[in-house]
Amino acid sequence: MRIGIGLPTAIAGAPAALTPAWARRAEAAGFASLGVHDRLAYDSLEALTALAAAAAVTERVRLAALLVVGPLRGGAAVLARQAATVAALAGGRLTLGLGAGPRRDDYEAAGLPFARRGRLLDAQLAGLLDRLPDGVEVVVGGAADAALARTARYAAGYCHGGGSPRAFRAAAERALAAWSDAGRPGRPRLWGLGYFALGPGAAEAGRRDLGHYYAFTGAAAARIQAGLLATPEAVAAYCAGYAEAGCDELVLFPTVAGLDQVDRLAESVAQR
Amino acid sequence: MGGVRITCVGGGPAGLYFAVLARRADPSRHITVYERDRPDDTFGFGVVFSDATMSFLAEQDRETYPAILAHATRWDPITVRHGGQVLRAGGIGFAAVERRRLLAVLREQAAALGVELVFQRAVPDPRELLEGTDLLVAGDGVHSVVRAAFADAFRPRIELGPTRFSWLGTDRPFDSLTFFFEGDEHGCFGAHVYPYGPDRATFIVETDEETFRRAGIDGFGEAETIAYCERLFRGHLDGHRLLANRSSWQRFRTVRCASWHHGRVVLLGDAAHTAHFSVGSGTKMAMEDGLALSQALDRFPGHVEAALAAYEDERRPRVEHIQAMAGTSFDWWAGFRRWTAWPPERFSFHFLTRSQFRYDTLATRDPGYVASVERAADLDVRERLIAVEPAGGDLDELARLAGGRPLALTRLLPVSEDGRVSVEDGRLEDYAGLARRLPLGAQLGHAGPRGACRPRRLGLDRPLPGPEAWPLLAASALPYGPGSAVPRAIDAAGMERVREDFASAARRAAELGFRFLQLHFGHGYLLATFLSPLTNHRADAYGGPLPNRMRFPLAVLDAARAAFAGELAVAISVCDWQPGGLSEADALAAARLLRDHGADFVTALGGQTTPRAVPPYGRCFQAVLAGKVQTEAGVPAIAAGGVGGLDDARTILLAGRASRCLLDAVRPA
Repeated sequence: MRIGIGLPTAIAGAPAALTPAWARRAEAAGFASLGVHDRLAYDSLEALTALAAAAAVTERVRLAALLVVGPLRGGAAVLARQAATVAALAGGRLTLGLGAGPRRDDYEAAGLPFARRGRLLDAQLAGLLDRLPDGVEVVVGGAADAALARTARYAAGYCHGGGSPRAFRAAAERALAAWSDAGRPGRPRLWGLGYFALGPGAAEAGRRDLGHYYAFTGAAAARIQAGLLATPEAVAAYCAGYAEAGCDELVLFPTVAGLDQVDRLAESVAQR
Repeated sequence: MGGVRITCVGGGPAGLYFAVLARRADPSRHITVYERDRPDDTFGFGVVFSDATMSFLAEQDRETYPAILAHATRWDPITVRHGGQVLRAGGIGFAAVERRRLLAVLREQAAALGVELVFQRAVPDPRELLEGTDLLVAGDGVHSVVRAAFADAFRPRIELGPTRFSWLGTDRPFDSLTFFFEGDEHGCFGAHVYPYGPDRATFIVETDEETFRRAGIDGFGEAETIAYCERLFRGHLDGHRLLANRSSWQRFRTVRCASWHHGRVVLLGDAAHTAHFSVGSGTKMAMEDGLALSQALDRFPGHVEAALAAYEDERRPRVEHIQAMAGTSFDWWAGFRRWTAWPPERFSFHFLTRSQFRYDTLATRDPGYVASVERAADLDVRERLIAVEPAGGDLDELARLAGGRPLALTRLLPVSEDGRVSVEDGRLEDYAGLARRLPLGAQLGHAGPRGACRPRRLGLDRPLPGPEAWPLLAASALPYGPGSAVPRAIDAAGMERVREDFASAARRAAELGFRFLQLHFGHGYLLATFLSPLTNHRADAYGGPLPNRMRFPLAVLDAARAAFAGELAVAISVCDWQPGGLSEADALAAARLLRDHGADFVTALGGQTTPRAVPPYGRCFQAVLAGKVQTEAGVPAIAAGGVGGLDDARTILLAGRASRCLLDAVRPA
């Protein structure tokens, strides 16, 4: 299993200039990928633009959008051009994760019907593959059966939304069942997510940031906060659990904006 | 400031629990609950919570929920009493509370917090209530008057179930969640028994419509129902009584609504959604709704409509998941008379694995129970596994798979050049030699409207550019997907040629030494387009009613059967997993026709009839389809879909849902 790190693009109060510095540091620390989330109605950097900045300052590390809320970019053409641009800047190192997204406010901000998000994404995916340059890895995420059907139909991989290794395994089993049922050759690449905050005082700040970010989930926010990886041991155990559950690439996202987080995560990961 | 006015219609668990939480979170809210009945006029004896429910509510609510559970009776096993045997599966974990007690706790807390409780007040016109309130909460149950008043906005769909049930009680002591099954000269009856106190249990009797009619129960009053059921279950009651409480015979109403909120009006609990009681989730869902709504109001202060949208966004996926599970369970209860003659161990395992549990989940909880099921079955599961070559083709892997198993199938092989999915498809002749040495089966098909595509490693159904493509065939001239090429509706000469291609391929398979043949008539391929009403719009003798739609597939089967002496399976999409697809009755009739025309097995696939199909992916996700073919149509079935290994195969085979299991080509690490 490979391990990536998220960029600090959606942490409240993090300056934009932190993102390229973080990208350089993470590549130097040996992470396999740099991840970004995507939200519209939230104070954050736009996912693909942020990846373009990261592309400009790195050479080897994979750039992973986990996940882009596809329909917010309209149809396939605009999104394909944006992704192709990032892929060109990065020399092909792009993983384009797509999902319908769970947040009504993002769709309202874009003036799009939330209730039609699944159909919008299906139509977008149908037109996207032929427009993307070779080598862009398309990944689909989401918990619904429709998301798994989309994965099997269009994608090269599946991205789980985060949670315990057990929850990841259950989702992976469903994704593999869909893949197998569709008669796709090979295996889908399985991506996992997690959140960390390491070092003195980081846990509390991290949990606060997660609570803010996931407020839209209601009661589930407390569970997500409780899942924050706040010690090197917790990080190591999480990585071991995901590896055992069949994850191919695990991307751990920061919840505290400080470059020391990159080093602390690298050390924790090295301990496993 | 604050002072938001909230009106709840219905003083059941949904409305009261919401009122308690919302008032506790913000005591400036003015909350009034209207209840039609008196405080103690409650119906339904006890309510059940599973372990999983308890953890969620317990995490979120550290005051009211613990007070409710203080009165709970807890038990660990599920007991199935059938055919003179008592089978217990332990480690499952439930709690039950007397409904009256649950409501008393909620009323007491509501009153202490300053919620205004108004009893014996029916609500004639919910629109009038809206005048004086900021939020109208409808927790008024399955027959909700609020839902009815705003039916245009909520668009409820109410489905009447296929069974009849009566909600009774008993004073016989029980030590666990217990199920009885008894027959008499009229048919079969099942009882769901949920103990909620040392000498009190809810006792629900359920039967199918035919038995209900034959027994003449339709005209029964309460006393006759009690007398009839006491006689029926006397062997289990140890001389104790059954108790009535407005115990008429009903059909379960499954409520679904297109929306649960409209302006300042919101539906909670049974008013918004119901799920058959056999999964024990009604009160749990109602209380979780109340919790989610209260939390959503806190997150969006001053924005009631945003809060209601957030409440629905959070709750709907969870509720629909439970409704799907309950649907499968309900289906079992509608058909259990078919299985009552089975050995009790298999019957109990079939029952327990109907929706929530699998072999491995039961084995972890109670190895002793599972061992007893395996002993009684005396079945070598490994002998019934069929492996399949990876979809991209891999002869070495196929040889490895066939080495350790009784049978391995090739990937799908086209019977002709125009029946290929892509140019990377394999050919029967690739297996020359291998098929003589190893126990192999050939999978034959014709891609029909799904042909002439790019290789599937690049995605499904991506058509080749025009110059590289070949003409496509289908029952009707309907493209497979929005971007697919339009096929030609196959004519008589085309059918004759395809029939001959199948016969010729079957003959060659036999000559090459294959010992098993699977004809692929599913997944939207050529023969599948005849089977499903979604893809067959023909007006001739090959379209219309099922016997017509089966005419060409059966002709192909006849030709292949005549050319191949070994075992032969036909794979069909038993369910299209989308609206307007093949009906269950037609699917079962199709399976019987295939058997009558010489198929030794029917492989129960589903979906892919069109790209819009959405199967309920997961472990053993189509076992229920195999079960219908095997136990309802009476045709030996091969189960497929989400069969990742031995434990999944055991789940299916020990329950008698299939004769064989086809392992997924891609399995968990």
